[in-house]
Amino acid sequence: MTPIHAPSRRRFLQGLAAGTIAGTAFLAAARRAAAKKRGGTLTVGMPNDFDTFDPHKLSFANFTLQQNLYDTLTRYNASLKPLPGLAERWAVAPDGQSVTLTLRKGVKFHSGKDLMAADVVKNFEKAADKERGWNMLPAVANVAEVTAPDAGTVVIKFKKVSPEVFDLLQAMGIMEPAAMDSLKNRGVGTGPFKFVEWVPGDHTTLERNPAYWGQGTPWADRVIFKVFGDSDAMVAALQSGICDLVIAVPPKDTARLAREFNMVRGTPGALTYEIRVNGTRPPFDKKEARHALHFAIDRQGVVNNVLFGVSEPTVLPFSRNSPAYDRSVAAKYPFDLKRAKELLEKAGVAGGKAECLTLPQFPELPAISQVLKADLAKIGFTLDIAVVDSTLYYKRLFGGDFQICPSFSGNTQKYPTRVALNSIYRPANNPVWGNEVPKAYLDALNEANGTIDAAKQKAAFAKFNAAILDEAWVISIAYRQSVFALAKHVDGFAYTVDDMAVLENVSIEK
Amino acid sequence: MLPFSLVRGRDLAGLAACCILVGLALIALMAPWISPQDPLAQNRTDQFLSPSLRHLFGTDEFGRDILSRVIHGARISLVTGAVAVLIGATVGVPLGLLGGFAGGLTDAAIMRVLDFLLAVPAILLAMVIIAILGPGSFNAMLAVGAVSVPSFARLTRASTLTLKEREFVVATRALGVGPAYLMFRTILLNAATPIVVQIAVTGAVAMLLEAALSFLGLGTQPPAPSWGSMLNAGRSFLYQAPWYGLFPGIVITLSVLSLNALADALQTVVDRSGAGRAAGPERTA
Amino acid sequence: MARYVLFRLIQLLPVLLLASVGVWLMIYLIPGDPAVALLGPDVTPEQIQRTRARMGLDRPLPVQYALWLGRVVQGDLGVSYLNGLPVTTMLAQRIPVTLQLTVASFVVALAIAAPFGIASAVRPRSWIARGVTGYNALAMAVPTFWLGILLVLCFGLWLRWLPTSGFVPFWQEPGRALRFLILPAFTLGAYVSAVLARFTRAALLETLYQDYVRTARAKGLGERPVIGVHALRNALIPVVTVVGLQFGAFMGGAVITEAIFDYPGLGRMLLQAILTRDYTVVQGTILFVVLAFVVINLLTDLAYALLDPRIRYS
Repeated sequence: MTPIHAPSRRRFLQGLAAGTIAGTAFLAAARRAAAKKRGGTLTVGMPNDFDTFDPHKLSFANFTLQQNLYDTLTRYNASLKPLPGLAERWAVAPDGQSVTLTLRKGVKFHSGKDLMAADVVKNFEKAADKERGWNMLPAVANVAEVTAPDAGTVVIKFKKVSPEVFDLLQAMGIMEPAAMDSLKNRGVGTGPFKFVEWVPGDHTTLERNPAYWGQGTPWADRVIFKVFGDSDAMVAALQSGICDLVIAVPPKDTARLAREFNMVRGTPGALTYEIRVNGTRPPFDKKEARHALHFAIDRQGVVNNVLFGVSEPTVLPFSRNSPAYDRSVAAKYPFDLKRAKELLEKAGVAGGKAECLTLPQFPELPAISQVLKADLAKIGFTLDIAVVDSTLYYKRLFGGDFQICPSFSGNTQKYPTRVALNSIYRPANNPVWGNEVPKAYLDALNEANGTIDAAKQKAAFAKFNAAILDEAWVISIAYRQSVFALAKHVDGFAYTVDDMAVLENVSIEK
Repeated sequence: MLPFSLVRGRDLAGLAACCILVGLALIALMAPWISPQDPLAQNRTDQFLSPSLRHLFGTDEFGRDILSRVIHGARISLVTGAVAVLIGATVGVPLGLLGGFAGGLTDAAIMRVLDFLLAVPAILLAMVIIAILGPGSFNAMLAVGAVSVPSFARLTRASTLTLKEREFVVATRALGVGPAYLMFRTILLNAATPIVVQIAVTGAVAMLLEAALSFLGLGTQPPAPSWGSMLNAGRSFLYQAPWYGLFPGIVITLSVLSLNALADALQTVVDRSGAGRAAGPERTA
Repeated sequence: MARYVLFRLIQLLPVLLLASVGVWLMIYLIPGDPAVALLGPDVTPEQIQRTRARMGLDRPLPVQYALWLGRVVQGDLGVSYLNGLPVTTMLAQRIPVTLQLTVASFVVALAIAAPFGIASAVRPRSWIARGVTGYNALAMAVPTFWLGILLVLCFGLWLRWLPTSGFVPFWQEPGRALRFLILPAFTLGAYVSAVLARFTRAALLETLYQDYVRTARAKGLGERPVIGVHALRNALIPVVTVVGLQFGAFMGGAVITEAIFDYPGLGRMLLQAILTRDYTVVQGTILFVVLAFVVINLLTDLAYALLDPRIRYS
């Protein structure tokens, strides 16, 4: 076994910040420890309330809990190099089929209990439970066994070679096993802040964890996550000084707010906007009809008129730092309505119509639909936009009960096959294909999942990309870029590769 | 005839309201011919142009001409108002007639249901109805119509109760006329005036309510250019494009103002003629 | 009086019962599944089925209704499907917040309506009266949401005088709370202020020409005491009625106002509950609104008796 990384000190935030383009801007504003102020309350505005305090349910709303109430086993810097978290050291077996973690010593849960290897095992057991595993359930599908040879060591054995082991460790938030039954209302972790109260639909209060293992962190005494029904109200609250920091600033407000606030842009492509196409239903059951959408969507128009420039176009889901990122393919799919029309004619559906399913919670999605509708209208194809509430939307989306549907996918910036955690990229039980997922895609996915050899991986990624583009049941459009807005007195903010806010180093300088 | 009464009564506000409403109706009718551009055409490079000669009301986030959208929006808003009133009157008036005429248990049952409907604020009721039917232009009309039923029913019932005891009704009844004839010819004809006033009042309320529902994202859906949904979208771009939320807001306010003024003028005419008073419906949005 | 109150209370029961059935039926007509709303994206049909069974959603509707009504009578409105909190607790958190907004907007409405109504009644042909008529027409026509947006734009973002969203409990920091209340209170109160001003004017005009006011005038009383003591007191009666009748307008307006100013009150809770299909919360909130409406109407009737010595209930 080869130890990969054994740092003596925790340089995570600095490494993370220095590695990103946007990060350098706010690192300049970050003060050295000696100059930082202690104490105070940080009020963070969010558009949605937490739907649970379960770190294994990684809905967008819950992102801010992951690194603040909880810790993960390992972390990533911006170039996906693993950094220590609750696991201080690790060793991956040469055959790639197991990993041994050495836990950090002296870590305590907020309940006062020491973090033991057995607790980590129980977290893996929960993740593997169909009822309670949530987003971690597919992530641990390749895990055969997790054991604790002693109180400070965890051994994870995989069913087959696991190229994405750090994606798993980095996503795995660790909670106190005794609190696993009350996650609906509260959470107990090891993070820099501990739970105080949750007033549903209004706010959640966390306070400084004095026993935290970070060096001198956290700086703030209290963090209040304030929920706003819509992002306009959230932005207004930032302007009136109610909030010190807001997450998920709408793209349209980014330029305007930059005059008064420090704007921090997340990783381009932590999420990717796309159009999901049902390839089993007319009119898009023919490949040519799906290809037509590749040419009919005005990607630059979406970037300019829907995302107000806070984005960049892409034809593949993968983020720029993903190993599967391929700059060259963009040129093959220009905005070309003439070509789109030819392809529709070839598929025999020119002059046809389709329903476009969308929901109002994310204003970009109806807006993308409008762009597509206006352009398809020019070539004689009718798109009816059906705006439904979120319950119905998700029911139809996950049930495959749609023709086309704008949406977005995550896990686009890590090991490329992770993208298959999004329902639309699932290799089985796929909402569109069921268990009849296109073979080229399935083969490429298995090939990429089956090797830790870099050259073989590269070849597999190329096939993977080709299959996604050719089958065209997901038409990637543009990256979603998270934007955080910080009042000038907020210092030391950072975010993870998933654009989760990291608040332990934040101090309030006023 | 109303216009003559308004001229005779020197009711300038009423006349102005009439003119504005007729103007709006004409604009709605001729929208495809008078609007300078296609209300749905996106010129994406013309995003958020401020008002100018080329775009009198400026452009929106997709570079669409806001003036053209406001002109086409007149159709949706006026149609919504009209359909809602039609639903409210065709359901509410017979209910009120029936209750007032039949009395007893029928009346009590109808009144209790109306009491309950009136006890839930109109917008909440409309929201619940839309939650059942799903968001959309037509469903919003249905919801607004349903919400306006109680005020029509109450008004008609009140008129019926008074008219029932009047000599000419008693006399007609003594002639052995059937109840349906009595209800729909004798009584309804004589209760018509306050109902007409009620139609103007309800029209104003219906337009406001539709705008409010669209504002909450429950009514007309984009890209269809209804004033309410334009306000909803414009609200998001107050800083980049203040005119976006300004012009639809102005036309909504103007239309509601006119309908209210018209209702007042009608009431004056009705008062002079000595018929009953329309029930002001509860404010909705 | 006591018998009258009792009589009125008994009269309320059928309305409330009907309301409960109505609310309950409407909510169950809604398409969409609270189990799906609870579980969120990426769940299997089996998970949904299990959750439905756990929540009792698979039992026959009449059984669900009977069970629910039985608990409601005991003051138990159930727990939210979404966050597991008792609905009564959630209501208790939100009611004071909305109450603060409605009381503030009522104060704003009165503060505008009283001088406007009096001035336009006392000087019916002056430019003040014309101005008041104009204000009334405008305030009654401007949609609440547009007024709110204009105020945010003007006072919050251009002039930067007032905060545009948020809530501070009055009982904690009255001064700051007031600053946060001004814009939403005016937005919500504008319409009612116009209605009140109209009614005050009409009521005053009527009383000003009544015999006892003429007598007071004839006795040589000054204009102030005549209007202040004699006319106003009697004009209060119709005004009280209007307040009772406007309760619905207040509640409806509160939904919109709370949405614009992000005010964490009942309206916002209800909107969220409808969007997330949180059945129990919708039921509890609507029932509370109906109950409040009915009680306020009762209080209005009783206020009559106190204000007008000529009205006696027996």
